[in-house]
Amino acid sequence: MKVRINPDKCTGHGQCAANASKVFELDDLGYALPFDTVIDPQSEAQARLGAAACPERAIEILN
Amino acid sequence: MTHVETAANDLYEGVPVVDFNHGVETPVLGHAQKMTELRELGPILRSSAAQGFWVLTDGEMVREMLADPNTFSSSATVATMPDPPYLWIPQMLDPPEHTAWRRLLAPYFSPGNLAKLDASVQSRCNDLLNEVVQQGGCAYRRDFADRYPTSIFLDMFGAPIEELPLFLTWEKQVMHATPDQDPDGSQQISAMMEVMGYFSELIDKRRKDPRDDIVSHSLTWEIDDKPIPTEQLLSFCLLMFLAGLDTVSIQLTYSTWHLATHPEDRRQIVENPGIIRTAVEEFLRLYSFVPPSRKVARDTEFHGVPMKKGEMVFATVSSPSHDPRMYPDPMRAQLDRQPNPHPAFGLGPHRCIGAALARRELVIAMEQWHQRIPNYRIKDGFVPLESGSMHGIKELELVFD
Repeated sequence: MKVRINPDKCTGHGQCAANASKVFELDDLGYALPFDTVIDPQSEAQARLGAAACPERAIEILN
Repeated sequence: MTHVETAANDLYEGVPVVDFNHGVETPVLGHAQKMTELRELGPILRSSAAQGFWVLTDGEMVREMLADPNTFSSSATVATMPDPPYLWIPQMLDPPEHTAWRRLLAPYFSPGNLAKLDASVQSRCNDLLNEVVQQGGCAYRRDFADRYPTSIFLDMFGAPIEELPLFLTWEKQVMHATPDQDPDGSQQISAMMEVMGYFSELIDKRRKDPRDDIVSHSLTWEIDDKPIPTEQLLSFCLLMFLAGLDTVSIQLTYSTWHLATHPEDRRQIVENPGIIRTAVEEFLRLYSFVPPSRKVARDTEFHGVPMKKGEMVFATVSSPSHDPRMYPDPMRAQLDRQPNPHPAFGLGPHRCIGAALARRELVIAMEQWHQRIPNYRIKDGFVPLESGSMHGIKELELVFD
């Protein structure tokens, strides 16, 4: 499962990291660190949760 | 149950007309209920109040509008005031000017900076609760909610906490006068002028004697390699004043109203404080209260409705927060709801810069309060009311059991 954060849509709500801290991290200003990667199977559930938590719908899940 | 009226067959550009003004006083949740009723009439309506403005009731359309600052400008953000004589910086700016200000402000509200504030937030909450606990009851806003987040913010910003009563009075005049109290908005304008007069003197003081606070730092900021003109700094102070003073107080009061009137939810919080993080998010969703209206920047057709440059479009974050397509049974509180991508802090470039600080203050307050005051209810006979375009419960009288 591939997960990509669209940096143009991220406005720094921080909810991805708040809900899935093992998958998503924030930079010093509270915006998501660049993320465009294949997730290992154990992290998929967390990644889906973090993605669904984003109010901007900035996180895409591509199977 | 309020009754929505429209004149029979009264249409404006094909949409129903309603006499709708969001600022009126209602019982708690009255504003949200009104929006739900209006949604029955259609996703886009036309209000005949003031100069006339569009009303979005559909959650997805509100999201769309907030994501499109090129079409929907923040140059005016109060639907009944399309040409305001005031400027709130950066709330009323559009990208790219808006972006420059956000870059300057972001470090103060970053997770790292907030971690440094945590001890003082805890200690402020604890000090206030020490007083409140002894009283056997309280006027929640006066005794706790209006004093707790405000001191933290004023400290960070650089305005003296001793002036809090004066600031709260101004805040009410600017943000919470009802259409009856201030029909033409002139009281609001004159209160804003007083606020700016105050900050003008504060800026002069900090120029001579700078401290480690936002006001002092702002005197050194540059945009396009130039210091920021004092007039813009005043517009910035005005916005910080408005945004920082009672938003968290309002949210605390709604959450407390909920827990005072829903004992089964309060019991969950008390018995399982681990649920507090998600409960805070659910109360942010359920009691969303900010109305981010916008001004049409260019003639456009929005979902079939022709909107002209200069027209105002009313929206409230409660529409996406209560969207039944996103949240089946939207008015029911589910304290462990996860995920909860509500837009209580706004969406798009104007996402509330204080969101992380607000969240931290809300969690700490909920934890500490329920450790010390697990049982409370609304005083018999007291009827809480909400009012203001950015509506909030004005006061909440509690009795501790």
